[in-house]
Formats: sequence, structure tokens, C-alpha cells
Amino acid sequence: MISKELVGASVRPILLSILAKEDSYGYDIIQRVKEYSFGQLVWKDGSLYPVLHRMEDEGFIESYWQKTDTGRRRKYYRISPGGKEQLEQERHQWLQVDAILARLWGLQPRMSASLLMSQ
Amino acid sequence: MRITQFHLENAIKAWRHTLRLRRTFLEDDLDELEDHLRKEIQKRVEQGISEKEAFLSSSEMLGTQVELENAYQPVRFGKNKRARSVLNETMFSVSMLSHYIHIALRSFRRQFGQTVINVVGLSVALLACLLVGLYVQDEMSYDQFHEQADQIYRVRTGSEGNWQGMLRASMSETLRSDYSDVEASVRIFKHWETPLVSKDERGFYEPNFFFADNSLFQVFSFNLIRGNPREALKDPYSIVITERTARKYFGEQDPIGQTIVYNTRHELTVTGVLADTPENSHLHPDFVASMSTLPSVSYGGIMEEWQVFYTYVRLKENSSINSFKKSIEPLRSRMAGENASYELDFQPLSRIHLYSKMANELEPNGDYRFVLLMAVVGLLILIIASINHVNLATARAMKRAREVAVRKVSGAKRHEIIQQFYVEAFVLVFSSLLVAVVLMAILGPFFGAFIGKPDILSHLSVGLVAGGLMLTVAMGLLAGGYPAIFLSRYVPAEVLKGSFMNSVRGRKFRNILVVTQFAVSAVLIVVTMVVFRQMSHIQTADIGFDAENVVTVPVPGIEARGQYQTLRNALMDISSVSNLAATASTYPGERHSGGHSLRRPEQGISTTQIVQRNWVDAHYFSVLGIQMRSGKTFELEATRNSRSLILNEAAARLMGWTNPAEAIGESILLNPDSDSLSYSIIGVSENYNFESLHSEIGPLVFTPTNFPTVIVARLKSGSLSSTIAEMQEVWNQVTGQPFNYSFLDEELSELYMTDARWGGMLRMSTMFALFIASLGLLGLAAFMAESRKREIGIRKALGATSAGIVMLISKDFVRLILLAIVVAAPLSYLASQEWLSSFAFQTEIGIDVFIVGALILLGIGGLTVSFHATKAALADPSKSLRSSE
Repeated sequence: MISKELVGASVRPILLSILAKEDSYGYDIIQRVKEYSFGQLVWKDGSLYPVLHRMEDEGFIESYWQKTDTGRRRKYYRISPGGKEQLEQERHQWLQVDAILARLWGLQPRMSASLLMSQ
Repeated sequence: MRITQFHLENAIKAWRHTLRLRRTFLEDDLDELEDHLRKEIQKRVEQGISEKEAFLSSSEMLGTQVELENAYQPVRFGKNKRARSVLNETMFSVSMLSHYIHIALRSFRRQFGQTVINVVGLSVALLACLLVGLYVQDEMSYDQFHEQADQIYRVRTGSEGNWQGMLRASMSETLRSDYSDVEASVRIFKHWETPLVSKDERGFYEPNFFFADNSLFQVFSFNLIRGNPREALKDPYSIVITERTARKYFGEQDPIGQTIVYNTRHELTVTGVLADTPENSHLHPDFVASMSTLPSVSYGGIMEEWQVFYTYVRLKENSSINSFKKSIEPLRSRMAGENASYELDFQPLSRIHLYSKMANELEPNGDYRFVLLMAVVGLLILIIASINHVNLATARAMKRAREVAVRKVSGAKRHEIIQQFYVEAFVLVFSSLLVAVVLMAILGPFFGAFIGKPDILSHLSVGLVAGGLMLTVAMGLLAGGYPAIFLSRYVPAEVLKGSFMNSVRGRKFRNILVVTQFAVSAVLIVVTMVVFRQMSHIQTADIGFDAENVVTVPVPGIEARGQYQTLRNALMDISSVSNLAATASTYPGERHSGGHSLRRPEQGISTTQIVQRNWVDAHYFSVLGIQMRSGKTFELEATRNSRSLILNEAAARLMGWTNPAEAIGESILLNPDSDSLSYSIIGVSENYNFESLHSEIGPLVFTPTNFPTVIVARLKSGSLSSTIAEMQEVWNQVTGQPFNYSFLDEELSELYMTDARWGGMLRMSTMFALFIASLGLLGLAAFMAESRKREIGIRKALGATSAGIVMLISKDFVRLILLAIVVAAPLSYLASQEWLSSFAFQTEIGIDVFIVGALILLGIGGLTVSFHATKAALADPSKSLRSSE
């Protein structure tokens, strides 16, 4: 299980990455997180939404309502140009951390990381 | 609990509703969360789980109310501020409020008895406050109806404690013509003898007959409906009358140009009609004759010699009284001569009613101290009622504790619990206000009649309404505050585990409040008793003369007065008339002729002393039973022109004779400015109370007359009414004038009418206070008996007697009441002393007042408590022990 702090730190790049693939809504986003993390990332479902709302306030994502087949409305989120930029920065930082830890532990850093490091 | 079918849609609806009550969530959030919940449930149901299980686990998954709120709150607050529309906010507040009110009503239904006690107590208290408010407002509104009331002043001279409101006739003109600050000035004169006003065959004695300058309407804004305000009072023999008076004399006829007859001789022509003067005025003229009429209908030299004119000035709009007072200083020092403390003072018009206490006021005034006292008493009553609420609410705390704990566990914040209790208090207080207002509408007129202001309800002002509402809100805050804070403090875990106990501190606090209530009531009881004792002291005090069985009859017109000897002889022939005297001015209890000056011939001008004066005949002293300290009374044949004079003891002392006998045979000047011939002092009378017992006996001088304006007759006790009838017959034969009489002792008691009213108001307030405090005690005793039901049951089962149980419950309360009495004793002594100090002649405050007060309190308190104690003691233990709580 990943610690609460690390979950807190990684939630934004994870959400941005998922939304970078395609627009989605809360329940679906959570399912994907579970899928990708093999259940290693566990949140209280309800706590996802405030994070989404904050990111929306910050301008990284946008939301819109759509009618579902049951006739209820559902809130979709999509990544904004600012969000894409942010995702790029986050990725850069995470890879840096990844490289540092790999070097310390004598592991082979990933290709992309070494590319980044040499820049 | 009923077992009901699980219904998914209802469950989701309820779930959403509880979230909506938390103001953190917007509708959009709720839609989004609900969508999530539904998806999750749908997934689980598809996996074969029951709807109920799916709902429970899914909502668990999503997070509890508190978890969700905690997660949303940091994000929401900034955004919420932007997103919250006024409508949204209002909707939320309304839904919260209706929820609170719903809960409040439910808790009232559960505590029906105590709620009734509360509402009755609060309503009665608010009613008392509203009535007091009406009274205070009315007292403070005196004379404010004049335009520029704050620029109008009454002129007075003398020094603190010895003001003289009646001035020389010339003063008004001096002020108006010599000082640019003065816009207008007016003299008002009211004769000390009540004139007879007649029209055709009908005549009435009119006590509210004034003389005034033509400038009356420039100074005051009395409303002249008919006639020209600039000229109505210009010419001699013109008169302005009020509407009511016009109806009385002329019916439906047009009064303008009609005539009435003053004291059987002088025809006066009506030149104007005044609107009836409002109640809240310090003077209520029915007739105002022009000042230029006065010299021809009264003593000719009155304008030149006497100090009998009330003088009012209105300053220019932008003049300040202070700079005016500075400019007047040379005049003051000229008038003062060598008397350094002599002042020329200007009384603000609006302060006359509550602050002025001169010897010769035009009407009995109010007293700001009493107004203040009533305001304080009103507030005290309100506090007593609020204490009831606090006491009952905290006493019930044990019962409410569980409710509070459950609310807290379900996520209620402390401030929400506080709100809840405040709403309860406000619902209570405002329904009480409603009851109080209805009661006021019903009882207001009776109250008005009681305090002598029948249309007091019509004086209801916006200010008073606002004040009443504010007071109610204050009361809600006061009464709701303590229970709210006290009850919201509970730690739910403790309460629900059952380790919570009604704290000793809470009980102590309640006890302090009960002691306060009863101490206040005790003070009121004692003060009320002292007030009534003083009233009866006044009625039975030795006033230095005998007012019983004495009638006074005014003699109108010169013809009748000239026939005095004939009249006297004829009246003395009636066997039940034992003696009869003439007075040409007045008699005890009526206004005396003031502003006369005395000087001993060998001394300088600065020793001139102002005294009051009466004209009487030889029989006056014996008719009234006034003893002579030295010398003798007037000769039988003495006339107005005789140069003999009698002083009362106070006047003799004032002129420097400590032993009355020294004064006999000395000569003295009376009104030396206009009369240089001296009088010879032939007697010194004992001091007797010719004014009310509020004032010390002032200096008084008598000169002889054989020309009475009033006759004073002593009747033999017994058949007074047949004697009066006989007198009337004789009177009509001799004078042909209307016969009007009054009993002297009744007139004297009118001097204390204000005191009697005040006493009545105080007694009423005391009853209010005691009633409300007892109600509270009743509620508390009921609660105690209720919560000790099991204990009592066990005691009885083990053989305790009913009497013992009653003792057990009453003991605590009796101790509190005793404590209240101890606290109240010194306070009530001080308060009574303070009130008595306004009387020159005081009753003793005996220990018995305190004992009786204590007994009343103990009696009422004991009776109240023992009612419930007895009920509890008589209850069948098998029932109280079996009942499940």
C-alpha cells in the first residue's frame, strides 16, 4: 500500500494523465486509477471530487455536463492547455526523482530519464 | 422500531437530503456525488448483492457525511463564496430555520407544562415591560409637541432648592426688548382662586383659567383652530377657549364673538378656539384671557407689585442658551444685590415635567427618579422571567443531553447546537411577545385609567415598538444564551456512555439565579410596603390643623363677597354649622399667593425675604384648629386696610425671631417696594402643613380681610349631607350664585394622588415580579419532584412518611428563599430610605416591614414548592418504581 503522503503528492499527475488520454467522469476516473495501480492506490471515493474541483479552480481541467442514457446528468472533465503544460512539468519532476532514487539504489534508470538528465 | 421494506430511491433521497443540510455542498456537487453512488450501487447489484447491502457499502465507500464534508470544506469555502447566490443562501437559511423551529416545537410539546410556565412568565414580564415602556415614554414626551421645544425656557430666580418660578410682570418685557437672543417671551398667570365662569343662567368654577400675553402663540405652538394668533389675546376682555370648553358653553353654536362672564361681573369676548391641549403638557388651559384684562378683573396693582407671573422665553433658532446666560449676567447681579447665591435661571421646557420641583408648580409634576425606578423595575421583571427560562432549560439539561449527544455524533457542529437552542428561545420569546401585545391591547386602557392617562395607548410610538422588539431580542439572547452554551458543551461519548451527571456547578448556578429572583421580589415587597406605610403616615400625620368635617365654598363676585356678614350670620344659624371663617386667598392644600416680600424696617434691602401670603378673618385659626404660639388673632372688625399681621413660626424665624414672643408688637414691612407703611405683628401661629408633606413648612404671613373669596366652615360631625343641603338653601337665598363646595380632607388627599398612583404602580409591579418568580419556582419544583420520583418511591417503600418527603423536597427551596431574604434586607432598606428621602415628613422603617416581607415570600414560596412536593410524596411508590424511563 502506498502511504497517504505519497498518494497526496501523486494524485494530480495521475488525474492529469488519465484525462490527457480522454475526457472522463468521476466514477470512471476512480475505476481507471484502481485498474492502473492494481489496487495499490486506495482513496475514499468521495475525496476524489474535491481534488477535481480544486484543479478546475486552478485552471488545469475543465468540466461540462452531459446527459446519460438514464436521463440523469453527469459531470465530465477534460484537460485544458494549462493542464497539459502542468502535466509536462510534473512528469519532468517525477522522472528526476525516479532517476535519483534509481542511481542511489544501483538500478538502471529508464531511458527517458537518462535523456532528461543529460539535458 | 417498525420494520420497513428497504426502498432504494428513498434511501438515496434521504442520503442526499442529509448532505444538503450541510451547507458545504452545492446542488452540482450533490448531483455528481449521487451519480457516483448510483454507478457504484449498480455495479454491486450486478454482482448479485442486495440493493440494501449495495447502498450501505457504496455510501460507506463514498465516505460518511463528516468525511465528505471534511474533504470538501478546504476546497469549497473560497469557491462557495463566489458561487453562493443570495437566493441559495436564503433558501438554505430558511430550510435550516424551519428545521430548528420544527425541533423546537417538538421539544415544547414534550415539555408542555414547563413551556406553559415559560410562556406565561415571559408574556406577563413583557406585558409589564410594555406598560412600563408606555408610561416612561409618556412621561418623557411632555411638552415636546411645541415646535422648537428645545429653544423654549421657563425663567426662574432664587437658588438651588429654593427656586421661585413666579416673577414680576416687567421681567418678560425686559428680556424680550434688551436681549437679542430672545425671539419671543410670554407671561402666564393663573389665579389662586378658582373663578366662576358663567353663560346666561349656567355657571361653572373653572380651575384651568389662565391669563397670557398676546405673544403666547409666538412662544408655544398651541394649536389655535379659530381666530388670529397674532391678535387673539391683544385687547382687554378677549378670551381664547378650548374646543371642549366651547362645546360646554356654546354647544354647537359658533363661539367666536360670543361672551362669557368672569366672576359675575366682567364680560369677556371669545376671540379664538384652541385645540384641546395634549395630556403630555405641563399646563392645560381651558381658558386663556388676555393679560391686558387682568388689572381690571383682579387687584389693580398686580402688574406693578406682585411676583406672580410665570415667564417663558423662546430663543432665536441659532442662539445658544449658554451665551444668552452670559449676556444676562449684568441683569442677574443687579437683581441679586448683595445676595451672592441669587441666580437667574432658565429651565428647559422639556425638563419641567420630570425635573422641576418648585413650590408653586402649575400642575403636579412627575419625577425622573420615579420614571427611572419604573424602568429599572420593568427590567428586573424581565430578568426574573429570563431566569425562569434559563433555570428550566438547564434543569432539563439531563433530558436534553442525550438529544444533543446524538446530534453531535451525527455530525452537528457546536455552533449549530447553539443555534438550535437560540431558535428555541426566540420562538418562545416571540410567541410570548405576541401574547403580551394582545394583553396590552386589552388591558392598556385600564392601565391608562389607573395612572390617570386614559388615552395612553394612542401615544404608542415607533420608537417604543422598536424598543419593545429590541428588548424581546435581548431577552431571547439572554434567556437562550446560557442554555445554548451550557448544553452545547456536552461531550457526546460521556453522555451516551451514561457517565454524565448533572453537574454540581449547574445546580449551584441555578440556585444563585433563584436567590436573585427572590431577592429582587423581596426588595420590591418591602419597598412597596414602605411606600404604603408612608402613604398612610401622610393620611394620619399631625398636619397642625384639623381638616375633618370642614367644607370650603368659593364666593364668586364682588356682590356676594360684600355680603359676607349677612351670609355668615345666616349660615351660622344652621345648627350643625359650628364655625365659619373667611379667607380671601386660599386654605391649606391649595396654592397660596406667593412672591410676597417681608423686611424689618431697621434692616437693609438685602434682608428682604420671599414669603407666601394669605388673607383671613378672625375666625380662620379657630375653624381650622390652628394654635397660636404667641399673641392673638385678628380683631373681629379688622378689614383689608388694617395694618396688623400674623406670621407663622417659620416666617418669624426667617425674620430673626427665634422665640415667637419676641416678634409680638414689632413692626414689619410687607412688599416694601410698593408699600412703605409698616404692619404691626399681633400674633405668631404654629407651623402647620399648608402645603403637601413633600415640602418643609415654608414661611407664611397672614393679613386680615372681611372680603372672602372662599368661606371655610366647620360642621358638626354626623349628618353632613343634610347640613350641606341646608347651607345651599341659605346660600342661594342670600347670594343668588351657584353653590360649590368640597371637603377639605378630600382636597388634601388629592395632593398625594401622584404618590398614590406611584404606590399603585409599584404594587402592581411587585405582584408581577412575585408571580413570575413563583411560576419559575413551581416549574423547578415540578422538575425536582419528577427527577427524584424513583428516590421518593424507594424512600416510601422503605417506610418514609409523606410529611418527611415533603420536608425533604421543600427544605432546599426554603433555604434558598431564606438566603434571598438575607440578601434583600439591606438592599430594600436602602431603597426604601432613598424613596422616603423625597418626603420632608417620613414614616419609620420598622423591623416589622422586613418580617412581614419575609413571611409573604416564605408563604408564597413554600406554598408553591409544597404543591409539587406533596404531589410527589403522595404518589404510589409501586407506580413510580415500575414506570420505565
